[in-house]
This record gives sequence, structure tokens and C-alpha cells, in this order.
Amino acid sequence: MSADEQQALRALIEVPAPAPTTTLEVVLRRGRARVRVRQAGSVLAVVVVVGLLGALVAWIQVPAHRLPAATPHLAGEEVGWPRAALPAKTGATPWQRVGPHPATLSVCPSSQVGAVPTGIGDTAEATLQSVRDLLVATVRDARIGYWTDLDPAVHRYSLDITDADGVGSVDLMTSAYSTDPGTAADTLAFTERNCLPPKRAVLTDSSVAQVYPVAPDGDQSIRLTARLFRPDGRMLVVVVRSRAGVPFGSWDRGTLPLSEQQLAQTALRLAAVG
Amino acid sequence: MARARDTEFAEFFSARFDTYRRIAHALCGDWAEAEEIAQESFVKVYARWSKIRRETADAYLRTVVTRAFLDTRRRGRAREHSVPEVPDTAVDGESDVPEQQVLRAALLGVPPGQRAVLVLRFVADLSVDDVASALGCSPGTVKSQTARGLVALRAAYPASARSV
Repeated sequence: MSADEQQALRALIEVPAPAPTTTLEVVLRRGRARVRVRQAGSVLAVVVVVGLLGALVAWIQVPAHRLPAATPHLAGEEVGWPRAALPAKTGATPWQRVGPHPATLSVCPSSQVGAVPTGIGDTAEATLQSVRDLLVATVRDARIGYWTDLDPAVHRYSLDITDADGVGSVDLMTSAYSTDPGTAADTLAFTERNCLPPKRAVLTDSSVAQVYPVAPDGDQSIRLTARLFRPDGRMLVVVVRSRAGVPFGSWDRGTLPLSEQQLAQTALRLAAVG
Repeated sequence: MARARDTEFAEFFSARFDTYRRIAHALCGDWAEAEEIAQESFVKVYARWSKIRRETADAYLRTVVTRAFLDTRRRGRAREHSVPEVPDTAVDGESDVPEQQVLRAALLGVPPGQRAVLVLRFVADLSVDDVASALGCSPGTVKSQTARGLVALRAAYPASARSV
């Protein structure tokens, strides 16, 4: 660019101009208003973020008893035992079963469990027979199958119960623990993704029986679990499932074949037969 | 502290407002709009005055003024119209000498982006790097925009039109 051209352009800034109408006061007044608006916006943004975080935390930590979506009566007739004197867990989330038998449960993350079981035991034939006899006598309008050891490595015995709703099952296992019944029961109080403590009965021989809330059993089934802690160091586990004992090819029936009350009776029968 | 800040800003405002109003006028060709662009720019500078280093305040103000001008053009708020050739009469009846009137009209015929480069480079007398900083682009872009802007300017402001 030539010097003349530059000079000509430079001269554009030096032309006569009308008097400015903008005063310092005007700029200061508008500038302060702009600062206030920006500060208000910042405060609002902080409030919104804090509010969202608070809502998120509240949603995550909503207690189980406040979750409205849990399907009632999945456990059938309930046992009247009190719940173990343990604080309920927080962080409940809904678990939903879809399909022909929709249901919703409130579940908690699985608790870290210490190695309470110290061994695997077999269940005495007399015990298995006694439990079956009890089921035959107390579960009406149902066909009670026979015990089958579905997993010989851990002696998981299972029998099917067939009624108008379809095929369900009951599992029975025996293992061992090394502490006292109360301590072991406390340690294993939240193993079923339960937020509420299990219902518990302390028997005259100091055995502890506890029944857990209904829990998910895989993606689509539900289960109801009871544990019996014997004073001799044996722990018997009874699991009622909404499907047949052999999982492959079996359909979920939607309901449990035993009620909570019947499961509690089964635990007491186990305590009685030794 | 606020009073000291206002005092400092008042000195800055007093020393520069007229200069930047004139630069804005070179950009848009209208004194009322130039006043508006300059005022809005100083308001923005005041709002961030506590965060602006004094040695960079001019550079920041240049950026704000230029962007304010370009924003008005992007929003289609242009109060100007591009002219395909140099008009025979003075623009807005201003009191420039005739050659300045022709040059100003020619400059207003240059596309806004290129015009901003020309004004910052040759009217505000900034270096290529300073223009690049004000426009938020690379020095290479400034050079290419300068070249194109000059071609457009010379097309509308031929040598034959420069004699008074």
C-alpha cells in the first residue's frame, strides 16, 4: 500500500466529528447494572447446580420405606417376627420385572460380606424328609416334588412345588460358621440386596432364624430366603424361588410357591429336627 | 476499592472514548451508530475492569469495538449499503473534504470483515499481530484479508478519483 493511500486512510480518523453524547456517568451506570446482572446470573447458576445436586443426592439416598413403587404382598402371608435391631440401609433403587408378571422391588447394593461360612456340609436325609413332610402337610392344592441334589459340589438340594400358578421351587443347603448365632446372623443380615433388616426369631436353644425380604433372583425371577444359625455352628439356608429348581428351560411363574409365613415355619422345622 | 476502580476507569474513558468513537465511525460510517458501538464497548470494559490488566486494556477495548461492529453486521442491522461504485455526492452530508468523502464511501463498500482489517491496520495504525489479536484470527488471515480488502477498496477508489 502506498504512503499516500495510508495517509488518506489515516486521515479518516481525524475528520471533524459531532460532540459526543456519551458521558462517563452513563457508562458507569450501565456498567454497574451489567455487573449486577452478571453477579445475579452467577448466583442463580450456583443455586441451580446446588439444587440439582441436592435433588440427586436425595433421590439416591431415599430410604426404602419411602419408595412407593414396590409391589405389595409378593411374600404372601407375612410372619410376625420383629426385624433385627439393625439400622436400615440407604441408597434404595427400584428393580422391575417386566413381562407377564410385572413387579417392582426396592433393592439396595449388595453389602460387603465377610467370610462367615467356613465350610460346606451335607444335609441329613432325615432333615430333608422332615421338611418335605411339612410342605406336603401345609401347602394346599399343590404337588410337592422330591429333593434332588442339583449341585453336588455344594449339596444344593431342590424340590419343585407345582400349583395353579405353575412351577416354583425350594432350595436347601447346609454350611458352617465359626462365631455365635447372633454375630453370624448380624454379619449376614443384608445379603439379599435388602435395605430393611431381616425378620428374626431367637429360639430357646439359642438358634437364630431370620427371613429376608423378597429379592430379585436373576433378571426376571424373585426369591425369598431364610437362614437358620444353629448353636453347633451349622447354617441352613432355605430359598423359595418363583421358578423351577432347574433354571434352564423353566418359566417364571410370577409368584412364590411359599409365603413368608410358610418359609418361617420351614426354618422352625429345621431347628426342631436338629 | 470500587471508588478507586471508578477513578481509574474514568481516566481511561476520558483519554480514549473519542478515539474509539472515531474508529467505530471509520468502521460503520455513521456517527450515531459509532457512538452506540463505543458506548456499549466501554460499558463492557467497565464490567470486566477488575479483571483487565491495564497494559492490555487497549487491546481488549479494540477487540470489543471490532466485535461489536461485526455483530451488528451479522445481525443484519446494517445501516449501510454496499456501493458498487463511488457515489457522486458526499455520504451523509458530512463535512469531509471531497476526497475523504469518496474514500469513506469506497471503504464502506468493502465487506465488513475486510473493512475491519483495513481500519485497524491503516486507520488505527496497528501491526498485523495486533489486528490478529483484536479479531481473534491468525496473522496470515489478517494479511490475506488486508490484500482482498485493498483490492476491493482500490476498485471503488481508483486513482482517478483521488484528485480533488
